[in-house]
Amino acid sequence: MRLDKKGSMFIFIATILLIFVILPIAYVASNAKVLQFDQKLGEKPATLLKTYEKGEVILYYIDESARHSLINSLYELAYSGGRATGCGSYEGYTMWNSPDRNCYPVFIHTLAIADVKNRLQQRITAFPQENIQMPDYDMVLSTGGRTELIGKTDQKIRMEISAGSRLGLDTVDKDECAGRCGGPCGDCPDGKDCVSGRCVDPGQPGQPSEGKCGYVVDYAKQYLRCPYSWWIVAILNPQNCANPGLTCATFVQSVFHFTNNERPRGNGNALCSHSVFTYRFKELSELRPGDVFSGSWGLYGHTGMYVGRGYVQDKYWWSCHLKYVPDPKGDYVFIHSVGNAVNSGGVCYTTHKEMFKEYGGFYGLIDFCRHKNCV
Amino acid sequence: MNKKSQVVTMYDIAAWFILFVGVTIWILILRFESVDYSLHMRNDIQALDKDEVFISMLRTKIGEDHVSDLLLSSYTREKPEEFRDKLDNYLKSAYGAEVCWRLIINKKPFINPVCRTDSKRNLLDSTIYMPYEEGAPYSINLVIAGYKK
Repeated sequence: MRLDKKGSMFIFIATILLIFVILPIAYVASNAKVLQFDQKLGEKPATLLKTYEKGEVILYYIDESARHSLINSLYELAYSGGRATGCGSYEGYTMWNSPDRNCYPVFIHTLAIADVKNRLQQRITAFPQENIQMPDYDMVLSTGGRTELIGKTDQKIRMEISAGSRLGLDTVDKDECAGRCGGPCGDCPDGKDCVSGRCVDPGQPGQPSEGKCGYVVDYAKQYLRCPYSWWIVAILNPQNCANPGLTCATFVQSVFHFTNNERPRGNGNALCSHSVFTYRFKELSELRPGDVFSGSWGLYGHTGMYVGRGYVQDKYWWSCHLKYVPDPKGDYVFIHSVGNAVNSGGVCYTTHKEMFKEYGGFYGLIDFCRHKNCV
Repeated sequence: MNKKSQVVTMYDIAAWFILFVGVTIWILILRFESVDYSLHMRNDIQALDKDEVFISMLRTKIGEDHVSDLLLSSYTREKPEEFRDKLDNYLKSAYGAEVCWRLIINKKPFINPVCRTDSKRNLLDSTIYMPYEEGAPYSINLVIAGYKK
C-alpha cells in the first residue's frame, strides 16, 4: 500500500515521538517505581549472608582469642610459679615460702581466670576490622580430664544487618525463664515436666522427691554439675555456683541456707554435730531424702545429702555420676560436691557402695543426720 | 518514479532508520544496566563463603593439631617447608587435585611456591586475623589461584 505525503509524515513523526518521548517517559516511570524500594532484588539476602559470614569471622576470632589466652596464661603461670601471694619473688620467679610463712599458689584457678580475662580483653580490643567490646564473661576453669575454659555471659554481641554491619554490644535481660516453668514462665517446651519450677525430662532427676524434706533435695539437684572448690568457702545459689565453686560442706550449707534459712556449719566430718541436726543415726534403712552424712577422710572429712533410692548413670569422673534414676529397690544415692586440688570435679551423684568404706567405698561413715525441720 | 513518490520514500526510509537506531540504543541501555547488576550480584554471592571455607580449613585437624596451630608453629620457627607440605596435601584432598596457592602473613609472602595455572579467577582469596599474641593480630591471607597446570 502506498501512502501519500501526509501518511508518511505521520509515520515519521510517530516514530520520532516513540523513540524520543514515549520510551524515555516509560523508562523514567519504570525507574520511579524501582526507586521506591531501598534495595534491589537479591540484595537483602546477600547482605544477610555477608553479615552472617562476618559474624562467623568475629566468633572465630573470639574463640581463638580465648584459646590462646588460656594457653599463654597457663604457660606464664607455670613458668613463673604462680603469681606473687605475699612471699615476694626472686629473679622473676614467685617465691612459695619465706622464712616465716608459706605462700603456695593454691588459688591457681582464680589467678588463671583473672589472667585469661585480661589477655582476652587485649586480644579482642586489637581486632582490626571492627571495634568489638568484650562481653563480661563468667569464667570457669576446669582441669579435670582435659583443661578447658568455659565462659558464660548474658550479653550479646549485636550486628546490624547492613552493608557496613556495625557491631554493638547489648546487655540483654537474663533469661529468667530458661529451663524454668510455672508462673510467668508458663509450661515447659518439648514435653518436659515442670517440677519445682524447673523443666525436667519425664522420669529423670528432678521428679519431686518424697518426704518432708523432698523440697530440699529438689533444690540440691539444681546444683548438679556446679564445679568443686577445694579451698574457697562461699555460700552460693545454683545460678551463681560456677565461680568459685563449692566445697562438700558449703554445698550442703548452701542448700539449707536457701531452703531453710538455717544452715549447719563446720567441715564435712563435723557437719552432723551441728545443732540444726537433731536426729543422728547410722542405718541406711532409716534414710529419708534430705538427710545428710558426715564422713571421715583426711583432715576435713566429707559430707553430702541423701537423694533417694535408685541407680546412677553418666559417670564423668571418679564415682561421680550426672544422672539419677529413682527405683525403690535400687542403691542409696547421695548428691555431693567432690573434687581435689588438681581435679575440679563438681556436684554429682554417688551410691552408698561407692561412697562409704563400710559398703566398699571411699569414706568412713561417721553419722547420718536429719535437719530439725525435716524430723 | 515521479518526484512526489521519491519524497514519500525518503520519509519512509528515515522513519525506519530512526526506529531501528532508537530501539537498538534502548535495548543496549537496558541490557547494560541488567548485565551490570547481574555481574555485581554474582560477584557478591561467589565471594560469600570464602572466609567460612578458610575458617573451616584453619579449624581442621591434621594429625593432633589444628591447621592454625601448625601454621603458627611453622611461622614462629621460620620453617615454612613443614607447613607447605602439610597444607599442600590437605588442599589436594580438599579440592580433588593439586592447586596453586600462596600464603601471605602480615602482608609478607610466607609460602609462595612456583606454580602455573590457567584459571583467571581465584578459587579462594580470604584474609583471617589470628590472635596469636596480645598485640596486633596476625593477618593470614590464603590465595588459591586455581588448579595446577
